[in-house]
Amino acid sequence: MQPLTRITPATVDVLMSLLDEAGSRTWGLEIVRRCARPPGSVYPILERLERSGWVESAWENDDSRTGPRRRLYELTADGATAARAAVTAFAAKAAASGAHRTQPLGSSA
Amino acid sequence: MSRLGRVGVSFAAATLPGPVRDRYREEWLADLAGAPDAGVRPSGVVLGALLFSMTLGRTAPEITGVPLGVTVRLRARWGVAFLAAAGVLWFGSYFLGGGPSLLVAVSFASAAVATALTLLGIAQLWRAALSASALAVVTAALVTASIGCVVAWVILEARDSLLLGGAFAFIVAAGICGLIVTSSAPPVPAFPVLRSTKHVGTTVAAATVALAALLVLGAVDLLVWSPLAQTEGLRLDEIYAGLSAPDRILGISHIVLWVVFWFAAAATFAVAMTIAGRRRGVSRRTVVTIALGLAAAIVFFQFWAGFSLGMSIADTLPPYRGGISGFGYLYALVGQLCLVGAILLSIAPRRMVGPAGIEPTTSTV
Repeated sequence: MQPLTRITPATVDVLMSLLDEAGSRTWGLEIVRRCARPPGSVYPILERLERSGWVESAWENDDSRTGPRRRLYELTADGATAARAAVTAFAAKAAASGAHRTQPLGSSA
Repeated sequence: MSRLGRVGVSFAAATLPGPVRDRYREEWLADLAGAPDAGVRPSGVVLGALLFSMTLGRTAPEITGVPLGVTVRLRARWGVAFLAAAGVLWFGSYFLGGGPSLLVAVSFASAAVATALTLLGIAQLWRAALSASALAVVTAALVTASIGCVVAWVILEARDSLLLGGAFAFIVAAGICGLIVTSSAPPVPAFPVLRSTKHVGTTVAAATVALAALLVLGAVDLLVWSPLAQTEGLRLDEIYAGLSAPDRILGISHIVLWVVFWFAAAATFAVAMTIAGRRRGVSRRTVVTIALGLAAAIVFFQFWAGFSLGMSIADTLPPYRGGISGFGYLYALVGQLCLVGAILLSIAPRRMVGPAGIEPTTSTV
């Protein structure tokens, strides 16, 4: 697994969404919805996380749904540990500077 | 899922490297179909796919399916191929200027293609260099500086010999730096390349017929059309009667020698390629490359084969000037294009078959 060169607020949102679903796989567009960020922001982050070994992805195995398969994402074991550390560090930095606060996921925006 | 949306994400996927193209196409099509369920606007998915395709880092081995070193070499080879092809077209349009009006337009079109190839070549060299080493960047900078000097000399009509000297010095320095870069680069694994040995016999036959046609047309041009174009109002028999016997014999013998030599070369090509093709020892691309190289050589030496007769006509008959026929301009253009094709096919890398379909290494499926 490789460390991320930069962690933006959007990256933190994606990591928090994946941490909320730790242990299960999440559809990419569900992560988009939970982050309340546009797909154009989330897609590249998921690609970067996957390429760096933080996240694994796999095709959905749902026979009840026809057509193209959904891609499901999940933090790797090392990725989950690193994600928690990154989120904590980001929150601490934000609290210290008071300049930015990430909206808690699941709360009404 | 709207048709426009499907077209949008399919287009975005089509621009991605082969190893990840199918994966993202299916992923985005599924996202598009499920966007209403997730409360996401389908247009956002399309826009996201397009943004993703534009911002994806395309040198990562996980994306390209090949090590970074291979990607860098492929780009460098494309860069060299584009620049060499552009060089041929630049020289051609420079020497072919002043022909019939239609061919002047063709010459301008040729210069436009040469410009595009030059820009593509420089871009590919820089893309390769920026992923390689500092010395590779220096090499790309030297090549760019050399081309800049030549452009300033030709296009801006700044006929300063310092510019030409600078262009030469920069390109020599680039060559030395390039040699150091390539010789010190770590070895990369060899990937199998696409190598079609089907229909080689048909390709050899078609190429041989084309070479023979090129020779026949070239000979007719030198013996008939070019003499008529050089003189004003004279019939062909009057032109040949007006020449001294030694001039006539020497001029025609050069043309005959050219025809015989290159017919022999074309026949040798046909026999050698047919034998190699039956043993599956030669690919269709190799056959086409050699045929294009032969065609370019035939056209290049056609000019010299007709030089003696043309000079004799210019010295003996009014209006006492040299020149070539309208067909001669077209013939020279065909020769340039054949050389461009031969260069591109021989330098540009072949399509690799190994990495196709490889998923990113971090995927589990």
